[in-house]
Amino acid sequence: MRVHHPSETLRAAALLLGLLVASVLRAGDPPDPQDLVRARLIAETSALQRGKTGWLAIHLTMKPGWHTYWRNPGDAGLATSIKWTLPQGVTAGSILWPTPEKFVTRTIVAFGYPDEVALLTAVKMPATFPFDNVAIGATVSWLACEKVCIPGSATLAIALPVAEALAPADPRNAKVFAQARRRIPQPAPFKATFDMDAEQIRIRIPSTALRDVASSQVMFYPFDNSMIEHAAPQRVVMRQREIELILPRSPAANERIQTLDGLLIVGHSGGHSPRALDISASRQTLEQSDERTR
Amino acid sequence: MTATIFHAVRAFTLTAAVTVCAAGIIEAATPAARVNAPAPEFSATDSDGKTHKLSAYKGKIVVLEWTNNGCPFVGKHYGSGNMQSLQKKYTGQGVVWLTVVSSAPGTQGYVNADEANQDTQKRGAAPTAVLLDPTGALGHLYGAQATPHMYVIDSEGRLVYMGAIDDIPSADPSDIAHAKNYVAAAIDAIKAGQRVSVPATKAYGCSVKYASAE
Repeated sequence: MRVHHPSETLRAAALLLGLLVASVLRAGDPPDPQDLVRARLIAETSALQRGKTGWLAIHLTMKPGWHTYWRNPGDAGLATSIKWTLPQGVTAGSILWPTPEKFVTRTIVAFGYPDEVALLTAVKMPATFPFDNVAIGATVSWLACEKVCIPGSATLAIALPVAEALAPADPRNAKVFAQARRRIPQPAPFKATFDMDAEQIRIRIPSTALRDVASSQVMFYPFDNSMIEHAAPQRVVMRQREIELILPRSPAANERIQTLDGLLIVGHSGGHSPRALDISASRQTLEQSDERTR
Repeated sequence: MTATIFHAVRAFTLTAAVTVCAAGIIEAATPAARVNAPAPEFSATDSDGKTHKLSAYKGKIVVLEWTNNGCPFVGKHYGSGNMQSLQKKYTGQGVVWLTVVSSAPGTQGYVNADEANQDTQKRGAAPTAVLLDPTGALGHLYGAQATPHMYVIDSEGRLVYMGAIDDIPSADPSDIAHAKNYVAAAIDAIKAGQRVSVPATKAYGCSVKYASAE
């Protein structure tokens, strides 16, 4: 027959109390950045080819309710950044950003990604690379926000064989790359111009650029966060020869810019996915703009 | 403690494109703060129950600093001692430094008067006062969007700088040493009788936690 000592009961109680206190403390702790965002470095192909470009991606998976940011985070937040560690002769391009979602809270706009996002980057191998394997490192830094913001980072690495011929796709990553490519904006097949005064930035595109699109269905997301008031209404005027987007200028806008880059978002409300066109508008003087609409 | 505002607010109709939900209509007030124009007058209560009117500070340079004690970008500047150094340096030169909390009750950064004073003490801060703005009226008047969001008003009551505290948007304190501090630059320019060379930049930080639409 087992005798129950009072000290055993006390120890059990102390243990339970300790666990209870620990769990209460844990509930009050700020969330662990690694729980909010999972980051992986993946490759599109199973090897990289000498003298050719291959594609890597930083695949971020966010905890439900949390988002990370686009290249222009909006009125607050911070864009995800990647710092590459590459062997001699290997180069990495800049991030191919998928079209973001736009979150509006009263007067504050955020551009970013809920759920998940794959940030594609081209990696170019030199024609001569003396090793059979290539090791690539990436330190990714992000800001994850929900009601509060938690910065996070991950140091990732990938090692890939180096081949002479084109390597086959890595089937494990095919779906992620395919989905990412579908979300990447297409370069606009038309020229855009813009002019700017103290109050407004006006972008003009040919009227043939967007067929059968209502003026309410067109929006502009700039790549530079200091150019426009993100939360203010954008007016779209359909004219015979041109479509004009009238955007309220931000006081922080650089008056001297000659190019304005960003996304034309078409069909942003109405159920189906919007189309995103990457435009690079070149500056016109007001006189030039008036001439063209005459 | 609330801020009472003497101004007219114009409402915008804004179409919001939120992809998960259907598009909605959001009211947005036009901030009255514009660079190179008179800074909007306000009357606000601080954490000691005192009232501060901007017009009472004519003849003095005034700095407004929006804060949120849980925001990592605010943490960058307070944890490093950067914000406190600026506060001490410039209040020591006669500048009126007003820290503002516009977080709504129940949101990150909200503090009552006692908590605000405890924060000041704990972090060794040296503002002239901490203004409590839980309704967000002062924040909306100035168009504060991110913490920290900084405003510099010259001794004639003109807004001469608004935006980021410095030119490296990050949460990394090691960036402070090689960043250009816009607030220091603006105050130094005013004191030297020179034009403020960068009057407006985009603030970086966490969104101000305003009370949601009524």
